[in-house]
Amino acid sequence: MALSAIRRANQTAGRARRARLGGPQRRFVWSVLGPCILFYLIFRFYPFANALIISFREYNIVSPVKPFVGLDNYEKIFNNTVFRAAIVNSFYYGVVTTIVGLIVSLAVALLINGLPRFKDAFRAIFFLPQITNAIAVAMVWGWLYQPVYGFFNQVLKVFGLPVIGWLTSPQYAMPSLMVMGIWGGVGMSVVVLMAGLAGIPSVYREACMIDGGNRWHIFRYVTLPLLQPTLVFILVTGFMGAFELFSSVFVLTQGGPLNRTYVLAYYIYRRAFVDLKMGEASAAGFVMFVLVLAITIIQLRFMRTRWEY
Amino acid sequence: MGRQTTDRLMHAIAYVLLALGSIMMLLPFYWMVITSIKIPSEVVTFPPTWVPSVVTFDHYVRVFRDLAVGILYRNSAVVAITKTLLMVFTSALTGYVFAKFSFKGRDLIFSAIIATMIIPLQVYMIPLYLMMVDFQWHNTYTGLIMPYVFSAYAMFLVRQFMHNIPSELIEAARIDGAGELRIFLRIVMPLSQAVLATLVIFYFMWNWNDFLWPLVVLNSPNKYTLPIGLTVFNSEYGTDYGATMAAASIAVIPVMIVFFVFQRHIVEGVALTGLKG
Repeated sequence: MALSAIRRANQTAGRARRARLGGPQRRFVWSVLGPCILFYLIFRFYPFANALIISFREYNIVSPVKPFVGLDNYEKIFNNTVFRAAIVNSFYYGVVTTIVGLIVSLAVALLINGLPRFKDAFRAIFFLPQITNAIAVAMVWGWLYQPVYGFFNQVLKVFGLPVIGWLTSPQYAMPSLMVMGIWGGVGMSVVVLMAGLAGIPSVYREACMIDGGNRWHIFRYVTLPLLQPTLVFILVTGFMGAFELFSSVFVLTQGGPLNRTYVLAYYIYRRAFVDLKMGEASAAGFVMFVLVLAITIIQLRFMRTRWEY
Repeated sequence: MGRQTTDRLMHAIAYVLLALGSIMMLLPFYWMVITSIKIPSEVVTFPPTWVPSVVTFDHYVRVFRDLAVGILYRNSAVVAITKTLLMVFTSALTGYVFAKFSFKGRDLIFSAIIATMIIPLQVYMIPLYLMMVDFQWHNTYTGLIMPYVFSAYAMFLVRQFMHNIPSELIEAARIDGAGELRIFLRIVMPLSQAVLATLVIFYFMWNWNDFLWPLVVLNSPNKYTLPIGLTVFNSEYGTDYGATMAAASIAVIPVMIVFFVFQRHIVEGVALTGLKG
């Protein structure tokens, strides 16, 4: 990428010229960075380290004694069926919504991109759930999924079909949340994908056409490979977002039925602020952190090898 | 078939598919609004009606009576605006320093800050909450805002953007005797308007909808932000669907109007920042 190379060269040149900062510049830099560094030490690194320490203690906010218990909390949560279910559910939700969401949004982005008119309008409609309050949206879906009078079951009844316990039956609750999550997340990916599509020079498509390629060839051999960085970006950010699913579970299912929608973020919140078992909650938090870290490292490696084209 | 005919056919198919998709996207919002203006018996009638036979605003009257909508809106606005402006300003400053100055430890400090982005709030939320209790900041807006005065993501975006501001411009101002703060305010800030405007819209949206941290920090109803107020209302009026949909409409519709007015700007901003993130 020529542009970034030029930019990098400029930077190094700039660096050489400003190798030593003058007095006023140094004062400016450190009076800006001082508060910033303090902020990150106080509000991120210290609580992070503290969370690790709490995860080794029996920590109840109302009891004055907080004894060290070693790895007990970790042992407890891994022996806890709800926690194990939460890990499985978080992955299940993350993988399904990310992949299905990507396929749907790629289809939508390609369709919109090929239109001669109304591109902006369609893009805005698909983006709409992104800007609306997640709690309000969850309330609306709770009403659509309502077992007796909800929209979906009313429609089933109109066609004489048996009604479904969308959020109340163990087998449908998680898929119902996934549908809602995909509905809410597609717009963001569509926008990013359309920007990615706009970045593909038309000469490649034209070259493919001159070589006798049809629409499928253009998609398979031009669009898809050139879109890969964007696709990976959506997979990474989408999975991270889905892995931290919280508000729809909080509003709609509270982890039920039969713990089928218990996810990690919700488990940690419940353990800490409802059951007041902050040691166990912190241990669960660290498990979550390790998982997020591992996923990020894998994805970053994947991204780096495929980034340049 | 000629090329033009195929094109036209493809476009027609695309329009039909997208129209169906749009209906699916809009249906929940449509159902929310019509439920909120139906009389209670029609809310649960079978078969469901697509257009209310009688329009009523009783649900809205009740929401405005039982839910302090005005206060919730004000609280959310105060918190979201303060947080957004602080965040964007601090990110502009620090992003500028990281982009345009070179000093010992710069890359190390920057990497350490960027690394904090991958830590989910759930991991450090408990000690952070205990810290708020220690500082006597729990149940205050200080506690809500202070842990979010800086944003690594915004800092990163600003830094990317400011790399492209020519250093010569800054040097020239220095030679003319301008102070560092003045250079930042008068030259760098105006040149970064595009990215800063995007960040303002973005962070306002996120802060407006922020849920988990306010849920942990706040516990008195007169301080609740809109999302927290909604969950409380929802758990009290769970089965009164006319009322909950009216509350949801009140939360959603004003934001939607703002969105459709600034739609182009917002969406382009998302594309810009999303790609570089």
